[in-house]
Amino acid sequence: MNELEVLEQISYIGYLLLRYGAEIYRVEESLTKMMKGLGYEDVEVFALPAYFTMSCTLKNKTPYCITKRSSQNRINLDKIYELNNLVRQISNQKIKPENIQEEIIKIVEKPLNYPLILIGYIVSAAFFTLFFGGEAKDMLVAAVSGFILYYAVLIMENLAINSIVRTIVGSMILASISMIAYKISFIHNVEYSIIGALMILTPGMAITNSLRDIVSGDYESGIARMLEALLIAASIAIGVGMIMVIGG
Amino acid sequence: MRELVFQCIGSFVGCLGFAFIFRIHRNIEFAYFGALNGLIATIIYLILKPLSNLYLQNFIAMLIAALLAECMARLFKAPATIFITIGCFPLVPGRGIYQTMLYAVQGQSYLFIQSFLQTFGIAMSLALAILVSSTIILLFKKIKAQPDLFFKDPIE
Repeated sequence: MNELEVLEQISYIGYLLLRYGAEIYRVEESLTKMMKGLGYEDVEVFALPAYFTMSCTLKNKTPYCITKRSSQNRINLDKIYELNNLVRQISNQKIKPENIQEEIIKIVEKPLNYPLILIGYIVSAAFFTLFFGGEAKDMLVAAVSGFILYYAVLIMENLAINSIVRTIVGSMILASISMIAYKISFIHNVEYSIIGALMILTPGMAITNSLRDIVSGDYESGIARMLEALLIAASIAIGVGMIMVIGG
Repeated sequence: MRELVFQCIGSFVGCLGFAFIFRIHRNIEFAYFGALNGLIATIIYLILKPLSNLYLQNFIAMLIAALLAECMARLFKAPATIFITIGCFPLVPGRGIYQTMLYAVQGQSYLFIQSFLQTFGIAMSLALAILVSSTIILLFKKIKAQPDLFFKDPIE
């Protein structure tokens, strides 16, 4: 396996880190560490939330540069952890350059456990309703919202609809389910089930990542993600508010 | 009392659900520790209730949760984001977002502005807590890597 193929694989790791929602400083640090670990010089990496470029000097003194773009990002903490381990192994030369591709394929091709994600939606909606003071009936309504929200979000993600529209539609769905349950007097208060279910849509990951990026000095990425978080919070409010206006 | 127990159960199981949503399926111990982090944040928030200052309550709870997350990250050699992301959910002001919108729809401008500012303030105090904890850890790492850091010319 020649140098260029190894660098191609390394840039693919960077692409995957961006795609699975790692912080920007982690992408930059990982790529730098790996290239330095493999013995390249003049290593420079610059990353933004959907794009990165990396350059170095090859062993025969020719310059090398590659850029990659990843527009559809989906959070997958399991894979970030595994890629992080792989990065550590590569930068400590615990792994032969020939085997990098194999290891990446092993990580990427592990299938997603969709039923467990569905359980996650149902359980977190129901139990955050309990957390905010709901009763058994409120929890049931929130669980139904979580169930429907899972399919709605999955379909919209596959259609590549942007996250603002996705959040508005998602919060309209959950608010209308609670509103219907209230109108047929199954529950006495719409508040708890709406709040419990809307926790699923809140941008916790974007807030955390944006602040960690700002701390490490990546202001552009930090502000971009902060804006994303604020827009998503606003879209939740807009979606719920529209249903409240319609439903009274 | 019953309500407090429900809040603790709700935060733990709810955070566990979030771990599954964020695709922690194979390394299931991360899910448990992240949820434990959320539970601890809730308990600290509830203990600090006598302060009757929402911002301070959120700030301290988030700060401790974030520092714990960094410790867990060292323990498992995993990125700290995993534990912070899952642990922060019980403190995210979901009720604030809802109430702000409710007042806006009802046309109660005074209450709307009040709860909007409160929600924004809570979000900012969570942000500040993550900022402080990340900075502490960054400094800790730097000092550990170069113990003679303080006595050097910073430019060189």
